Amino acid sequence: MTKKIVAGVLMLAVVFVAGCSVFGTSDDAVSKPKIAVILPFTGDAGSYGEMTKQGIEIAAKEFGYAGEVIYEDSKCDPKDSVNAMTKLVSVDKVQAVIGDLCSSATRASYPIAEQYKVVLVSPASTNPDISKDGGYMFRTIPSDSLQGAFGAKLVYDKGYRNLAVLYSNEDYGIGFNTVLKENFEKLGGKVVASEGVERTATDARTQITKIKAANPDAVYFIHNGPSVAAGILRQMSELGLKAFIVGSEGLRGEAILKGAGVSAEGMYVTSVASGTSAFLEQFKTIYTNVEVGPFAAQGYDAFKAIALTIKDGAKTGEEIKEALYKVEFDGGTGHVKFDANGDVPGTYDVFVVKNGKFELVK
Amino acid sequence: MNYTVYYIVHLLTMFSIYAILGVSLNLVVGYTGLVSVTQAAFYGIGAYATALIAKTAGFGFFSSMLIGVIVAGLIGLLIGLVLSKFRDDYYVIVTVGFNIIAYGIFMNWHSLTRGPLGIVAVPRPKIDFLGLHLDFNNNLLFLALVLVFLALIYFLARFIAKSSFGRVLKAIREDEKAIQVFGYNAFYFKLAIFVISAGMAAVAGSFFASYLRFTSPNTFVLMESVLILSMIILGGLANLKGSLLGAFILVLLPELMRFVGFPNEIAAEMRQIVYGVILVLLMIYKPSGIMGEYKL
Amino acid sequence: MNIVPQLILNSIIAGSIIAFLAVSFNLIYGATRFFNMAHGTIAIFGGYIAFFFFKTLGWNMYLSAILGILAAGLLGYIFDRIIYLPLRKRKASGMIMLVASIGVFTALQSLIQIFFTSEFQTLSDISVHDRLYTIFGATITQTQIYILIMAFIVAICLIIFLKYTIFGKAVKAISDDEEVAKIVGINTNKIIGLSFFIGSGIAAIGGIAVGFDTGLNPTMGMKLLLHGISAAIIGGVGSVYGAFIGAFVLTFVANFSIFWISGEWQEAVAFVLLIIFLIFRPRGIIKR
Repeated sequence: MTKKIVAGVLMLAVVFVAGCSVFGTSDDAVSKPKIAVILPFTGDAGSYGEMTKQGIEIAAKEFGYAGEVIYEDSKCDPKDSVNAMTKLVSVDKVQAVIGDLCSSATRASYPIAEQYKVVLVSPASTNPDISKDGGYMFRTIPSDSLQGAFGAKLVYDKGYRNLAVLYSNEDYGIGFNTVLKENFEKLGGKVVASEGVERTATDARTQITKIKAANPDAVYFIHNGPSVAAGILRQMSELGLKAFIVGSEGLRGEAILKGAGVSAEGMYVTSVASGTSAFLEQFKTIYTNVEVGPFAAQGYDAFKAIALTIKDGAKTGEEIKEALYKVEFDGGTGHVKFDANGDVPGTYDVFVVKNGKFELVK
Repeated sequence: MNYTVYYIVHLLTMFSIYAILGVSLNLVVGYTGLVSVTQAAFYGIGAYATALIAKTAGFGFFSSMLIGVIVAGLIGLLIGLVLSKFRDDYYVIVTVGFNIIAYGIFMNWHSLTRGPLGIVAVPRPKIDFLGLHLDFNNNLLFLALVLVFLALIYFLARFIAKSSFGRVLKAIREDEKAIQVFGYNAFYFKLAIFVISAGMAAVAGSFFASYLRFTSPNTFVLMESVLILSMIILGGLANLKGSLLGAFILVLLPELMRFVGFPNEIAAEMRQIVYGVILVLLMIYKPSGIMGEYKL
Repeated sequence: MNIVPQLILNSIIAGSIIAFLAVSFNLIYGATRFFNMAHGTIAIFGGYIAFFFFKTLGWNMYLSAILGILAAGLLGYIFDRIIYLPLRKRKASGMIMLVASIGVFTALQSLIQIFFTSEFQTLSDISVHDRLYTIFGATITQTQIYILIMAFIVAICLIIFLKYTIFGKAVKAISDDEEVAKIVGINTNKIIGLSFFIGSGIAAIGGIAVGFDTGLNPTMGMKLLLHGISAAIIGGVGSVYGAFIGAFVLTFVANFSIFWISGEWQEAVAFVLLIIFLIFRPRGIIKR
């Protein structure tokens, strides 16, 4: 008994000593700032992560970072995102991170980035509250406070006045829903129903039933898990919901076309711009057989912004942060300049599903 | 900190947290013979208590842990009262039900738990006491702290198991009717150990939330309770060292598998398959586990 | 617009899927007296096999469904032979069997994840709109009508089968007392094996129905099973009628609870209902 206690105390002592010795070592002088990426590469949003990575890779090559970017998979799960961020700041000692895709994952890992004075640039998280998160938070995608206004205007201009919203119950969906409702009512329309559904829940019949009972003439569907969303689109048509359906950019995925088929026909999707024609040309020369994904241009811009500050001499996370507020360049999405919140202004495209394809609406 | 140290410290921290959970559950399953599959619920209560209180109310980590333990104990009391009506299969299914209800509450009581968004920026503990300044943002110090608590809980559980109270629990497990004849009211003993176990699990939850600096409902699903149960069955029921061994094996196993070179995309699934197969083989060939003193 | 008719229809459809699980769980529980926690995942396995033949290979839909049912039945039978039979021979307690089945569940679910990914897969034909029928302002699809008819047929067949065949009588004898059944000359292991086959096959009909209805996901097996067990307990363990009544009580309560609390709570509501039943009426609606 006593022996065991002694052994236990010894073990603790060893751990403490080891701890102190680690305290003692100073950081190596930073030669070239490290850039890492946290995105979902598996799971429901995995395909979006891959598409964003393609954009990042183009910029990485341009700035001599090919093969030096550290990639971590978050599966869009806040827990995995936090784990990845902890590893990046304490082991790899990176100065800047690009990520995450889903707003909830970005918001979960940001506090760690800030604590370690590491810049976080999201190419895809659109929740409006991210603007307020802190000085080290930037993004190359406009906040949903803009898409909400754009979407509300789209529905209103089409002549619809009674809007229902079905949103995924997390940062992305909740934020979008709030802004959409505000703007649509400001225009003079009425939001007749607004129902939340868990991001992974496949059965939304109850919510759709409630929406149908409210008799909307348009439904805004906000979701970022395409294979789940496809099932819900089918349920909408099965329950005989006959309204004009608009999807958020999370619905612009192959899985929607494959999973919902005819039930997605005629659906409109609002989405951030795919990129300037120059970027699209550049993309095609590198990825010959691939369609450009929703966040590829934003990923490109995120990397380019960070790389430009490094090129101008920024070494630490703090210096990169300061420089990012001043940087200005022509990127994949157009002219990029961050405002005081680390946000960019945005332009949107509208797509419509026609014959099993997304077609750009002029 | 280089990667190897960071990694070993991480694994040891996870081991310590699971060991606390294993020891706490062993008191109920191993010593008292009640197969409970709801330990993740109490684990979650501890995690949310720390995440909410340490962050918003500005309390220190340790007082938030104490509150977590008390809340988990009280809820354990309520659940234990309901459970006292059931045995065997029905006992299991009711504990499963409670785990799912707890998950539902973590997930859907948005105004309290923020639902699936989870709670971010949970602080690490800090000690400023008698000239001692310890900042547990350092992972090594944090590990030392968890180890201290693991030792405390381990010796507390050992004390309980060896006391006359523990002997009554074992007697209840072997023959509940017989022990009633001797004038012991099995009801109170079963309830007491369930509450104690719930409180201990909450300690593990506090550490988990603080270690990760984040908590969300996804950690406290039914599968987590199943994992903790498999862990103590593997190590051995009614043997506390067995629970440590079980936690050690199950935390290390996935890492070993990565080392042997399982492809990364299916690593999580392969791990689950190995758990499952181990569980089946154990039940067939050695239902008492590696060092167990009791079999189901 | 009144949503009550639609809620009733939604409950009936969800209830008939749960009923497949409840009634087949009952059958296996009757013969073996242990809670088979892998049962729901075997149902999903059947759904995925049907998916593989129908969607991946493009075979005939009915043939694929039958193959899915047979594959699940066979898998249930194999698990009995290689796991549960040896355990019975060692006189293992119900708890050991339960923990072993948790092992089977964990391994099988992950195996499905590896082969079919964690994404949702649907069995229904997405290139055409399913035919819609309207009853009192509520809509129902053709597929859902098929599911209802199947549930009805299975119920009738099972009742007749258990009542009038030697198998049915043998199952009843075993569930009353396995030792006595052995003494009077019933080959208990053969009967139990057969009930695993039939029970797993019926569960697979439920799994395939889910595939057509909302889509398949590897992790939904446990949820399905827990609903099935709840329905079986609420209705009265060991009774075919009870399983059906329990399934409908469960889904009606869960669906109509949205009048008081929002939809996300459905899952928790189902288990609160189960626990209330267990406390106040532990032997279910139909006592055996």
